Formats: sequence, C-alpha cells, structure tokens
Amino acid sequence: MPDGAPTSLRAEQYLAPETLAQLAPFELRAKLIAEGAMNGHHVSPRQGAAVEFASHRQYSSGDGVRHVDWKVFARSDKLYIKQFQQETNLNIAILVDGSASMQYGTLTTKSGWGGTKAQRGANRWTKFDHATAIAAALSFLALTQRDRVSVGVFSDGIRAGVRGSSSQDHWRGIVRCLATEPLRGAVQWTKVADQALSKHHHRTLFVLLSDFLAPVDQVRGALARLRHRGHDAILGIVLDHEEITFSMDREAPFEGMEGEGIIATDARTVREAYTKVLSEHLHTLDRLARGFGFDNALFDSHKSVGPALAALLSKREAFNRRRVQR
Amino acid sequence: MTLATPWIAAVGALAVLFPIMVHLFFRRRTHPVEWAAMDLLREAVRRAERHRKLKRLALLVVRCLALVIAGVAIAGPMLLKESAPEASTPRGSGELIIVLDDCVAQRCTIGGVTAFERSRTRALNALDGLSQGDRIGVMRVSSAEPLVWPPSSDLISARAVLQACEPTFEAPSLDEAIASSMKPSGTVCVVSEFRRGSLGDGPLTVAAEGGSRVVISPPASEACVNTQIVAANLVARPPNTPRSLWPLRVTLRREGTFLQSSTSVVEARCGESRSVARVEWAEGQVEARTEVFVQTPLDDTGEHPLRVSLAEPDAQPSDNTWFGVIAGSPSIHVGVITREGGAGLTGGEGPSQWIDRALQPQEGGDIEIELIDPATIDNTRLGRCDAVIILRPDLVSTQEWTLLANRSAAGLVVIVAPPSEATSSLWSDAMVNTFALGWTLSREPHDGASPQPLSVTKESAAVLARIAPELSELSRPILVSRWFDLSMPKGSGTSLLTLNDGTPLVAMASRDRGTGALVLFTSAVDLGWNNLPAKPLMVPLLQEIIRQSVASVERGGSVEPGAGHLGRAIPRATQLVHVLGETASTTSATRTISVDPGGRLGQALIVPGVYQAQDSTGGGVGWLVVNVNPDAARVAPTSTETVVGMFRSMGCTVAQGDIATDARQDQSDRPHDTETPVARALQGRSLAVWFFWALVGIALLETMLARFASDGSTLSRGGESA
Repeated sequence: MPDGAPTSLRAEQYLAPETLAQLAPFELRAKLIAEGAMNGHHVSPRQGAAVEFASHRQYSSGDGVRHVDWKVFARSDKLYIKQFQQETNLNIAILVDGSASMQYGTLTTKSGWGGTKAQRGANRWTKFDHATAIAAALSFLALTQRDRVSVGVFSDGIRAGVRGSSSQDHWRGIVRCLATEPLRGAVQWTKVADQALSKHHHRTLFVLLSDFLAPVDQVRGALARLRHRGHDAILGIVLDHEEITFSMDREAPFEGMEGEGIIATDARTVREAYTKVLSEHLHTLDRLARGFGFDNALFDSHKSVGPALAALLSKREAFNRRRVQR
Repeated sequence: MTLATPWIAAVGALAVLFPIMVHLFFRRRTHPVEWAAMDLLREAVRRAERHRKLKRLALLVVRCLALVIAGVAIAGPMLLKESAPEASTPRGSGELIIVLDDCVAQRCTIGGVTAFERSRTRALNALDGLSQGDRIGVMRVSSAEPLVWPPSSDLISARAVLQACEPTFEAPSLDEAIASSMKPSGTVCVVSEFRRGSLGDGPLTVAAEGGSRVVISPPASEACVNTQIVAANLVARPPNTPRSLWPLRVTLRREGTFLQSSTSVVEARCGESRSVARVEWAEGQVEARTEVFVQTPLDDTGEHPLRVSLAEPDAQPSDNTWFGVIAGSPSIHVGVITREGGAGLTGGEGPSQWIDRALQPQEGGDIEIELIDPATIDNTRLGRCDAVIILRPDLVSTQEWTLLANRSAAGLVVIVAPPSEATSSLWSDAMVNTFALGWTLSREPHDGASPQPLSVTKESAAVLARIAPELSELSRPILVSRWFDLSMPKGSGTSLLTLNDGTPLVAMASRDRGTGALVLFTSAVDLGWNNLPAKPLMVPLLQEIIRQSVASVERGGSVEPGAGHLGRAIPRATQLVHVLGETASTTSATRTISVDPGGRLGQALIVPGVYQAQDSTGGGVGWLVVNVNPDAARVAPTSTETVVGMFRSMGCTVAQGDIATDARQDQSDRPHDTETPVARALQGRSLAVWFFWALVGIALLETMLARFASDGSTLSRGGESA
C-alpha cells in the first residue's frame, strides 16, 4: 500500500447501497464485439465455435458436417454451414481525470461517502471524488461480470494506473489507486489518448470520467484516435452542481484552478450568459460523442451516482438488444 | 466672502465624512473564488458585457432624447397655422406685426410722460414677450419710414430702434399703415392711446385681408384740457392803421371735460417785436377768436417769419404754436381789367369809375389801381397785382382765363363782374372751366319785374366779418333789378350777399388755404343792373373783399409736417433752410433740405416752423411754412366702442387687450396660456404641453429601461432561473 494511503478508508465506502441496488439488474455489455481472455457475456468480434448462432455460409469441400444446417438442406437441397459468435470478456479501461480542475467541489461531504486525497482537508465533495465513485461502481459491476477492468488517472498524461484484471479482489486495488493519486496539472487529451492506445491493443471500452472543460478540439482529437483503433468509449462528464447552475450571488474575482488567471465579475450579472455557454458546451460534447458513436452522460456531483449510471447503462442495454435482434 | 456662522460650516464639512465611513465600513471584502470552468466563465463574461453595452447604449439614447425634448419644450415650440405664409415664416417661429402710433396726438403729455412713450413701452414689452426665432415688424402710423420692415428676427436691433424712435408732428395715416402691414390671416397689433387726433377724419377705408385680425391696445381714458391755435390769419389792416401793424386774427379751440372759465394769453413774435392778446374763456366755451397786432419795421417791404403761441403750457404742446410769414408790402395793387372809356348803361359813370371810387374813396389810401386792357393780360402785369377786378370778362380769352387761374392759385385775388352790356353768360364757361368751380351761371340775365332786395341774415362770411355788424343796415337799401342766376354745388363756394330769393349776388369760391380768391358778382357794377355802386355798402364791401382776401393769402406756401413736396412752385428754389420753429427737434439733416426742380424735397419736412427757400447762391426766393394740423393734435379720449367699431368697419376680427401686460404674463405667470393676445398674435399654437407629456413618457421609459439594464434586473432574472 502506498505511503500516505488512508488506511481507514474502505473500498465499500464508494459503493453506496443504493448504487449497487440500482446497478445489479443490468449487465454491462459492450456495443462492439471485443476480444477477451475469458468467456463472458460480451460478444466477440471473431466468429467461430461459440454458443450463439450468427449466420450461414455455403458448404465448401473440407468443412465438417457437425455444423451443417440440416433444416435448410431439407428445405433447399443445398448444404449450408452454421456460424456462431463467440462471446468473450469485455475489456474496460476506466480513465479518471486527475487535473487540478477536478479538485473543485462545493458539496459538504457526508459521512460514509469516502474521501480521496483531493477532497481530504477541505471537507468538500469534489468532482474527482464523484468520478472515483463512478469508477468504483463501474469497475465493481464489470468485475462481477468477470470483465477485465483497468484504471488510470490522467492529466498531462496517464500518471498512475492499475493493470487490467478480472479478479474480484482487483476492485480494491482500483479504489486504492484512485484514492491516493493527487490532482495536478491540466489535461492534454491527445497525449492521454496516445498513451492509452499504447497500452490497449485489443478492443476496449474506454470510460472517460472528466469535467471535459478543455477545448473541444482537443477532446475531438482524442476520441478520433480511439475510434480509429476500433475502441468504444463512454464520456462521463462530471461537473459540480455549482458549475452547472452557477447559483452564486456575490461579486468576487474568480481564480482559475489550472492557472487561467483571474476574472473579476459579478456572478449574478453573468449567470444567464454562463448557463447558456455551458449548455452549448455540453451540447457540443454530446454531438461530438454521438458523431463517433460513443455514449455520454452528465454526472452532477451533488447527486447520487446510481441513477445517472443506471440511466446510462439502461440506454446501452437497449441499444445492444436492438442490434442483436436485427 | 465670509461666513456668518463658521461653526455650522465646520459641522457640515465633518458630516461629509459620515457617508464615506459608512461606505468604507460596508464595503465588501471579496476573496478570490476558485473556479474550474474558467473558459466558460470568460466566454460568459464576454457575452454578458456585450449585452450590457447594448442596454446601456439604449439607455444613453433615451436619456439624451429626454434632454432634447426638455430643451425643446422650454424653448416654446409653436405650430404654424395652415393659412399662415410658411414660405416666408421659418418653421416653428411666430411673427408679431405692430403698428405704432407716432402721430402728433401721441405727444399728449400726462404726468410728464407722453402718450407715445406709454405706447412705445407697450410695444417694447410685447417685443420682450417674443422668443428667439420669432420675428417682429413695426410700422408707423405717420408717413415716416417703417421702423422695422420687413419683419426681422433680430429682436435686439428691433428693440434698439424702438427705443430710439420719437413721435412726429404729422397727422395719422392709419389706413396706409394697416394696409401696408396686414397679411391674409395675419394679425396686426395697433399700439396707440387712440386719442381724438389719432383717429383721423373718418372711418378706415382699408379693407382687411381674408381672415386677418387686429389687436388694439386699450384706448386712453384720461381726459385733459388742451387749448390749441386752430388758425392765425392776417386780416386787413383797418383804415388809418399804420402800415407796420399787421392784425392777426387767431382762432383758438379748447377740448376737455368740465371746461371752466379761464384766460389764455396769445403771444405773437415777429423779429424783435412781441405782441400779446388775452382771451377770456367762458365756462364750457370751446372756440374763441382774438386779434393781435404784429409790429413789423416801418416801411419795410421785406418778409418776416411770424410765431404765434400760447403762453400757458398744456397737455398738448404741439398745437400751441402757429407759424407764418408777414409780407411787408405797403399797399395793395389792384388791376382793373376793362376797356377804357366804358360808360354805364344809364350813361354816367361806368363800372371802372365805380370801382375806382369804391377802392380809392380818398387820397392817400393804400390801394393802388391799374387799368389793364383785356387784350394785354400777361404774367408781368398780373405779377404786379395783388388782386384783379375783371369788368369785361367777355373780352378775356380762354388762354387768359387759364393764366388768371394759375395766378389765382399762386395768390392772386380775382373778382369778376358781368359786363354792363351782357346779354348772355357765354363768357362764364371759360371761367368756370379754368377755375374748376363746378358752378352754373344762367345763360341770360334775369330781368326781374321788380327789383329784388338783398336777403338780410345774421351770419356773414368771414371775409366780411369786419363789417358784419353793419352789414344788415348797409344791405337794406340795395335793390337788384338784373342778375344772372347762379347755382353752386354744395361746398364749392360761399354766398357773400344773397338776393331775397336766395340767388347769390356776390359769391366766393371755396379755396385751398393760402391760395388766391375768386369772387363773382352775378350783377354788373352798373346802375342799370342794381343800385349797389351808389350805395354806402359798395365801398366797404369791395375793400373788405379785397383786403381780407389779399391778407389771407399766405406768402410762400404752407404744408403740414411730413410733406415731401413744396406744395406750390417756388421758382429757383434749391434748398429750404429752417429759420424759425421747434429748434429742439431739428438736426443738421432736418435744418437744411434740398429741393429738386420739380419741388420734391430731399427729405420730408418733419419739424414745424418757417423755412426760407433759397436759390443756389443762398439768396431767399420764397418761404414755406409748416404748421401742425390742429385736428390731428386733438387729445380728447375716445371710447373703446368707437375704436373697435372703427376697426370692425374694415371687415376683420378685432380683439382688445393689454399687449404689454399679456406679454409679461405670458412669460412668467402663465407659461402655458395660449389665449393671450400676444400668443394669439403670434401666428402659431404652442406645442409645449405636448412636448411636456412626451418628456413624461420618455422619463417613464428611461426608468423602465434603467431597471431593465441594471444589474438588479439581471439579479432578479438570474434568481428566478436558479
């Protein structure tokens, strides 16, 4: 265990009971066919001897007769071989934004919510805390499905991480990594994407948990790289409630947390304009993600992780069901 | 500068610190707030600032508009009437036309202030009531040049001109002044005290323009006693009177209420001599005559300026002086136009002998007789005569009648009697035509079956005034057996002696003041026609006719103030020099006036007095007398009804108001009252009220916009959205 790690923290603190209760009925399924080391519930991209029928192909000399579809032969007097999809384990890489901006939070922490190093001392629930809670829930769920989960913390690059594993005990290591990593620097999306792709050669579901407050072009570049390699991604946009509503009622200089300088203004006079700018930014991210075929969801750090995550997973479940039925 | 209570000032200065301390105490100390979404915040600030700039710009425009509207409202916007001549009137400006009465009646002085000064003050106050951009035009009731015309917006210069102007000695020309200043649908303000002399001789004859209005200042109501010299005429010197004494008959007139008995002293000055006469007024008496003898140097044949004046000043000093010229001629030269050797019808003496006996009853008289043959009538012979008696009018040609008429206009007294042998009056046609008499003489003499006596009346003509007491007695024995019937249109002449049936025996044509006389005997100077030549009446009758007629001829000419022409020719005159008169009113420009060959003057005669006509060498060639018209100088007040009625006869709308008072009230007490005469006089309707309400609306809009553009508004909207 790394020095300075909160020995008093328990990983289960990240799993609020209501979170688990909401996630249990759902299976995490990948939209794309992914290769896995172990049999699981996920569709493998390679067709072969598997449980689920996929399609027919014409019999050619040398094929075994074990997979001949005799019903089709009876109807058509033609020989066809049944092809099956091999379900594999899903590779999930959860990347959590560890830049300085993730240290922002305005919610006073509740007992039992578990704290990270970023939150400790300020007694506030930061965005990073919320992102780690999402990461913990997702990793727990994935591990229960015997998916392979890896975790990384990034800012100007992937600074820390836990290699992928499908062991149930792997979850505690994930939480420990997230809890002990300090927040610093600013995100460089392109570099993060390159580093992540270098570590994941097989098709992987990347779960990006960040506030995505960087320029959209940088995010577009990173997502393009992931799509180019055939990976799937989920964008989890984690924002503080105050960042969403901008409900402050005072005039004060605003100081950037990543060295962006100071802006002196009255929050009341710019509230309307800010909410409009934020809405446009979120809409841009949504269109960006959809453009690449990725999912995205907004997580309010003042609200429980469970409902939002459940909604996201439900959406993905419905999509996959439709695709299989076709 | 010092302070009465310095400690209060010190306390006040210290009290200023209190709000400063409160401000400093409650000033928020803001600490920087950490914020992650700085890019979003920066963009939001940029957008908010842009919107705020637009809101503030709109607020600035509204506030500027409010100031502009306020300024326009204060400036007094006016809407011109549709019928007003917008082409000549700048948009948004009014025009005030004033007709200022500056005639001699306005010289009436009450309490040391003349009526003109009071009227001028009203006019100045009306001018002060105008706004910048308004125009003012000022016409004068006299014939003098307008003070401000065409209307000008230079109110300062107009004010200076008004302040500098003075009243004249002229009679009013109200018709011309109003006609010159009136415009269709325009308004003219007549500023006068409307005393009797300002109203002229009758109703206004000018017709008002369509829709025009007249605003008159209130007529004066203060009555004052005024004694004026109506006329001062030289009368014939009584017999045996030294030739250096000239009797002057002075006619006086009084006006006023409650005329009490009083005494007026008439003073006549001629050169160094001074003569005085007293007039005793009875209670209620309005006219009186007196004679004052003016002394001239003995045997002086020169001409002497004469001044007759009242010793006591009164409300109207302009009519207390009369000017004239005494011609120092030692005798009266009478030319008898007849043919030598004429005898009477009855034999015996002919007409010329009777004339000679009547004019020279004794040796040493001052009447000299010259016999002139009708065929030798010319300017030279007529120029030597003060009077001519034509006993053979049938021998006078039309050309000679024309010559006689011209000389009569220059002062020659012409007496005409029918020839003894006349059986018709064809000769009278040329006389009537050339003298423009309008008379009609019967073609044939009337032969009465029985001689007619003269009609005896108590009234007699002024020319016979000296023998009036004896006239009835002297007329009784006169019988006329043959005469020509004469009909005179009314106003064309006076019957000096009348037959019992009303036919004039001796008629005098009406004449202009200062010109010669024409006297016609309708019966020949012959005993076959009448017994007049042999009766005592003949001598005084003929002498008085000649003496009074010659005496009443004014040497030189006589005009009223304001005249721009000599009136009658003064040969060789090139300039007029003021030698006697109102020196206080003369300037170098008015003291010497040029005369062109046509008798036109270089400038109008504005100062009463005696002017000597001089030729190019500076030698005297005649005289011109300027006297105030006494009718124009009357100062009796006139009722408002009379004045209003006089203007209404023009056919225009008349309003009466105190222009000066209304102008002041318009400025101070009633800034929004559009019903004053001045406001009405200004061709327009005030829009100040509309601009005021527009200002109120703009102020409300500014309030709402300020609220909308303020951070407070943003706070409330932000609070609602949160």
